[in-house]
Amino acid sequence: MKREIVLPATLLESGEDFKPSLTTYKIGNNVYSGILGLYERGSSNEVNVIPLRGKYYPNVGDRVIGIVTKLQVFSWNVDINSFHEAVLPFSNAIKKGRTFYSDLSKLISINDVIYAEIVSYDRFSPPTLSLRKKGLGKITEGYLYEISPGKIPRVIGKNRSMINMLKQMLGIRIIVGKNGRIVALTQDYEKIAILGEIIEKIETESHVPGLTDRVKNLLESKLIKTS
Amino acid sequence: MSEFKRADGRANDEIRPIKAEIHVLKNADGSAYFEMGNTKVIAAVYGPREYHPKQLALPQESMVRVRYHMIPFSVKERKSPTLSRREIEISKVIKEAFSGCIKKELFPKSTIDVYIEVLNADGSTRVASINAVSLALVDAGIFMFDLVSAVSVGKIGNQLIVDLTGEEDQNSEADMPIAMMPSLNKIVLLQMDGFLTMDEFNKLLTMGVEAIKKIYEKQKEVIRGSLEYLLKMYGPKKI
Repeated sequence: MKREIVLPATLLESGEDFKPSLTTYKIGNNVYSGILGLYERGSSNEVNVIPLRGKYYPNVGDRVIGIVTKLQVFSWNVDINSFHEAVLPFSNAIKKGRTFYSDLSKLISINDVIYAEIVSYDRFSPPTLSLRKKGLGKITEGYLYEISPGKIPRVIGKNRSMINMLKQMLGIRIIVGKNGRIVALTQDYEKIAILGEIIEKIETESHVPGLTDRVKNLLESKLIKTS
Repeated sequence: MSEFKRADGRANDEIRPIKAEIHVLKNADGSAYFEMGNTKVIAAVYGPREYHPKQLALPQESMVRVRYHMIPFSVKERKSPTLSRREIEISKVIKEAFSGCIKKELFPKSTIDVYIEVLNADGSTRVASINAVSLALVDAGIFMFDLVSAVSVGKIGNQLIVDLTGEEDQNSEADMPIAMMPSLNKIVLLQMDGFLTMDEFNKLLTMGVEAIKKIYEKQKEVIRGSLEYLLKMYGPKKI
């Protein structure tokens, strides 16, 4: 299926059945785009445009990569690349039943990178994070990439195909946050550079079909060169 | 009618050559440069970002703040760098023009800050600013119902003209900046200075709308032409 690039006020669909989403709007029976992005025709009744630029819109249940910006008395403020700063309460950062008497900064301090889940967000309170699930926590080493949040589904791929391939072929652990941040857990410079190129390719060519195959070819040729 | 000629040799309904670029500032979330003849404007958009002090933020929607500023060397005689009464007023009308076309409900309790710097002023600075801001907002990925395009129209003697230069503006009997969302056919800014008959007004409005459509196409072309920029990512950072 072909994805086309649309600008604000581009007519996407017309008909009673179509519903607007966060990135589109409806006047009468016509659905228009509200942002610059990619649109794929005929996937569902909810007309959605994948944004090329812009900030992350928080959703409950999303796993994000945040950077701690401030220490409060009983919580941390976390930058999640959104228009609101997220809050990580102290109770959500430690395991149930544990106690922690020392200074909060000994647990997580400013500029630390964390992998967390958004547990609540509405218009009355800021996004609240939690580390109380398997796989979540502080990221102590690695390299951080930042891309447009709308491109993250392309990095993950259908049924996680793209991200699994990257992990398998490069042999490194990769954490992907829904807010447009990706962490490669490695100190191998060559692999970091290769992953950077791959992510850039995904970002610039995500609207052209057959992406996974092309990425695979590129990855193979790169890996042969380095080995 | 045929005797009349404009100083730069343009036809009455002809706009000045346009040059525009998107994503010119790296620190801003969105930015654009816009040039109409000798009027040169740069616009930067920050946000949506958190509004401080927090208790003053609007619970239902985002705020839009606009600062229009002419830098001291933008005009022939040095202009004081403080915001003048005129600049504050233009900031207000630009803010009101964009308040209607941004979907503010999407970003409650936040603010969208727009900064406009006029680098060189030669008439029609407010419409050039609006054109630049509209590109910068697209660059920032903010939900807009449509791009906003603007042009100024006016009257010199008995001639109706489009896109006034500074000189024409000073000699004009009436001038009228128009900004609209062309696809939706909605006017978001319409000001008038001077005297016009109803007939002249209607004629000028149709001339303005025609010119706006040309600018709109140009803006879309600029966005399409700079997709490569918009798709680029930032390099990796060590944790």
